[in-house]
Amino acid sequence: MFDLEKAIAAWRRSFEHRRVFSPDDLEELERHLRDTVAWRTARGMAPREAFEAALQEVGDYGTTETEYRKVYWRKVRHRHTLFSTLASEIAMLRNYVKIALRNLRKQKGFAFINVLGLAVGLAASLLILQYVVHELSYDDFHADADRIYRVRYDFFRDGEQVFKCATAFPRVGPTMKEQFPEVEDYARLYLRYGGGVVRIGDRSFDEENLFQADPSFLTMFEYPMLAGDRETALSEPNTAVISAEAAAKYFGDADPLGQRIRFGSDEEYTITGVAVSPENSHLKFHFLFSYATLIQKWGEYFDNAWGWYDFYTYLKLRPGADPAALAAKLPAYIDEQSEEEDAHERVRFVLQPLPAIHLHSDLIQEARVNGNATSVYFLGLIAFMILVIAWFNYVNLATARAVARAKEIGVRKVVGAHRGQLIGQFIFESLLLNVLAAGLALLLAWAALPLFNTLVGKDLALGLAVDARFWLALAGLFGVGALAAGLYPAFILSSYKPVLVLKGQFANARQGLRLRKVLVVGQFAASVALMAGTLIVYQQLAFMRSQDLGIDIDQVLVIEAPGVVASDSVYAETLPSFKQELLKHTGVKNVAASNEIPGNLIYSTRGARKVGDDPENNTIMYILRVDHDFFDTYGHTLLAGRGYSPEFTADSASVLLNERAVAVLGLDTPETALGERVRIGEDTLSVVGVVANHHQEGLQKAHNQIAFQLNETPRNYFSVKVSPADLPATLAYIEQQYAAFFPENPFTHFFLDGFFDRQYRADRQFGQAFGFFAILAILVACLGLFGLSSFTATQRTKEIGIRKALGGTVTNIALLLSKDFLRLVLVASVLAVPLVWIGMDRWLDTFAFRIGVSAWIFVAATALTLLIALATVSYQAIRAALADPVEALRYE
Amino acid sequence: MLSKALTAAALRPIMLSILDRGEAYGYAIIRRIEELSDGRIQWTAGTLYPLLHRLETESLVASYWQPSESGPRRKYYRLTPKGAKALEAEKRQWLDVHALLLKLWGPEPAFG
Repeated sequence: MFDLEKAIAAWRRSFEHRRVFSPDDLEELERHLRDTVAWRTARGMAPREAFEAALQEVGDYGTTETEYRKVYWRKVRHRHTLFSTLASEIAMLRNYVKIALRNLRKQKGFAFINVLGLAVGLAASLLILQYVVHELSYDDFHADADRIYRVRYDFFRDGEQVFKCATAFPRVGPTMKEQFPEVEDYARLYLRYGGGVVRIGDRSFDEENLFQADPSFLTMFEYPMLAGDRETALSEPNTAVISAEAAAKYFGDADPLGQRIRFGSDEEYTITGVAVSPENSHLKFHFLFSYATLIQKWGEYFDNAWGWYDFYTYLKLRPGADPAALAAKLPAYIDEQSEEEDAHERVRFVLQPLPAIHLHSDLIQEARVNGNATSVYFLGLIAFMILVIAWFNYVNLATARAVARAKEIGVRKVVGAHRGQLIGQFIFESLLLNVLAAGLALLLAWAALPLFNTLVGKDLALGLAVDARFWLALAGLFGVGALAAGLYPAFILSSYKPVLVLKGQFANARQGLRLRKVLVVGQFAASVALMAGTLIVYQQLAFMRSQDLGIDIDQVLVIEAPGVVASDSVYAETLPSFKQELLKHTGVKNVAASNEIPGNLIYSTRGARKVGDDPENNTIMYILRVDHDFFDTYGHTLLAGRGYSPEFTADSASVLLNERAVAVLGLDTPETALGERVRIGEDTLSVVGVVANHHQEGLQKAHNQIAFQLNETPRNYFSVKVSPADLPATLAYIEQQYAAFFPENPFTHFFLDGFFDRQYRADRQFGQAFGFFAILAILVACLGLFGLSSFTATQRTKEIGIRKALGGTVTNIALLLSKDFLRLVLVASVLAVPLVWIGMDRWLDTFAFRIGVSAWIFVAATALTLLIALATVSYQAIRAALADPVEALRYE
Repeated sequence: MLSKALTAAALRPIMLSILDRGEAYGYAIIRRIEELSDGRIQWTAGTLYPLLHRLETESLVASYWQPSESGPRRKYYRLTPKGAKALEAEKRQWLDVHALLLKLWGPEPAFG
């Protein structure tokens, strides 16, 4: 009996072992066969005949296979594009990993130099990037920061700018909102200059950063509120919002809301809110008192005065409003408000965008010491330089080692590698090195963070897990590095002709030599530049600290004058007896009271002119209020006339000027100035003495015109000249007397030389950071040099052997190997000099008193770099020179 | 019966045209050709399937398996957009040949 299934199975077997028929194909053919059989049996054919006819129709095995074979390779290739390609790619990748790891293991030195150099570069970049991001983040937490502007006040005389000031007049905010539809809101802030004493119960603290603020301050800015209602917190007189730090300090865990604090002698505030004052803002407040208090307590002029510039004024513009259009309307507005003719020629308001204040604003009366865009950019540049030096190392070492890998490439090409595959392989190797470096860089950055924070004077945290930008930056630097550094060597290495290489005719060791030279020159030019820059920064710092200030600030103890006194008359009575009491101690030489001390900007200014001059000629005058003992305590040089003395009873109508003030007022010489009458503010005073200019501020700032006005009981500071002998006892005595005379007041004191020195802190930090990263840059560059020199030494092993055998001395050979590199370093120095000269000259120009850039700096920087380079290179050179020539010649 | 050469030349246009009418499996295609040509054109499986597979590697047709009620599953083929374009090109060529032949066989003497 015929069994169709058996027959089909038998038919199938003859096809199954042929690979041109895939299981799919067979299934399809079998189904075809079945269909044919079914069709024939349906027409009355017996199963056996039907099957045989169907076989004929389908075609026997031989003819079918021929046809299938024709498409077989196509089918195979078609399938490859889907699965097999993937499989082979993975296999290839595994091969790349294997080869790359093998290469790393075989070339430990090369890998170490590259990974370490890249890691140091990456770590430095990451740290500096964190710093840059922090500096750029100032005030960006306010949602509407892009439409908030601070009104800056510029004062001109005769078309010449006299000053630029961060504060404006009280009337500016309200009237601008009234007149200009594009102004959505305004907020004023009035700094309680010099701080003061805040008391709660029987505890009292000396506080800084206290402001009176409009209620809109809290709604315009988005300082996070921890308690209280931002809409109403400052609407009433005698209310206060305090910072989170202040809340913790005064109340611990207790609820601050509704608590009462006293400020100064007679102000009292109820706490209505607690806000966070973040570090990254151009404002740092501890206490915000309601602005309404000022108006209620001292009068309407706090609301509508014109010309009194002590008020930070912020404007929030409506969305889409054009600040330039608003600025264009201001001259007319100024003329109208001031009621003086052509007032806009003297008064100018400038709208400062809020986010730009921190880095781009260095005005008088800033609320806080701002950052400096130049140093931020400088540091960013340095980070980039270090990274580039590290990338250059990779390119140099990879192309230098190309010769050693030429055979590998030749064999790979012969076996069928495409050029693309080889490029892929080398880029992969670069990628692997960069991965290792990135890992190490994270560790390094984390470990070096505390050091970095001291260097830049910040308290940064690596925003690792929290900040996507950090990872993005790392990934970006990593990607760019791997590609940039990997691409060139990959192209060079993959371009070798296999026939030449394998025949051993490949002697092209000089390939890429010129590029290597250029890169080394680039690296060392950067190093020399950084080194010279560091030296110049330090020289300028040393210069500023060694200059004669024109006064003697050594051994001067400064005490902050009492903030809490019953009344002015009580203070006036107490002060002289306090001074008398202090002078009884043998360690106390002088005691003086003044409204300012050296090291501080003089906050108090008045308009001034020679009597008889046109009021148009008013110029700004900085006012120091001093008592009789001030000049004796500080030792100013008297150029003409006399100082203040109790013998002259009419001195309240006298004034002493410094040289600059004499010049500014047009009084010719110190001698001719004597007896002249000048108008300062509302007072008419006669000049009784002229003193030499002294450095009121650090040497970054030029001498200002100062009028010393007599005030027997000035507030703010007591300066006590003490003798160095037995200081602790003297200090204890002074504190005891202070407590006795001014109870309820904290004893806050410091030594003036340290206080003065703090003005150089930013520059010193800049110098330290500069120096630190300069050293890193040189270190990374030397790593590369070390690798290159060791490579050259290996390359020339035979030559060295022959030279030695023929009588070359160790010195000769070491010199031979070193001199090429040293020449490059010299060229680099020559290139670096003009760049540094121009760059640093500009930096120095930010100082009023500066050094010149002297040639010896460059000689020193070049010599130092040369020395370091020599030490790096000579290790390899000497090692090569000392090697036994027999060994060298047997080599191969 | 067609000559071997002409059969070979006509394979592609016929196959593409049939699939242009709708999806089909191999056996059905053979039957259809037989039907439409009144038995004058007969393909074998050994010609048909390699051709389909070749067209598939050229992405002119695509295939998929479909369960069948009458037995094991069948592999269906359909025209891809690329295949439709290829058909247009084939059509133009065949019509050119056809038009030429018509003219040559027409009443006008070809050479005056």
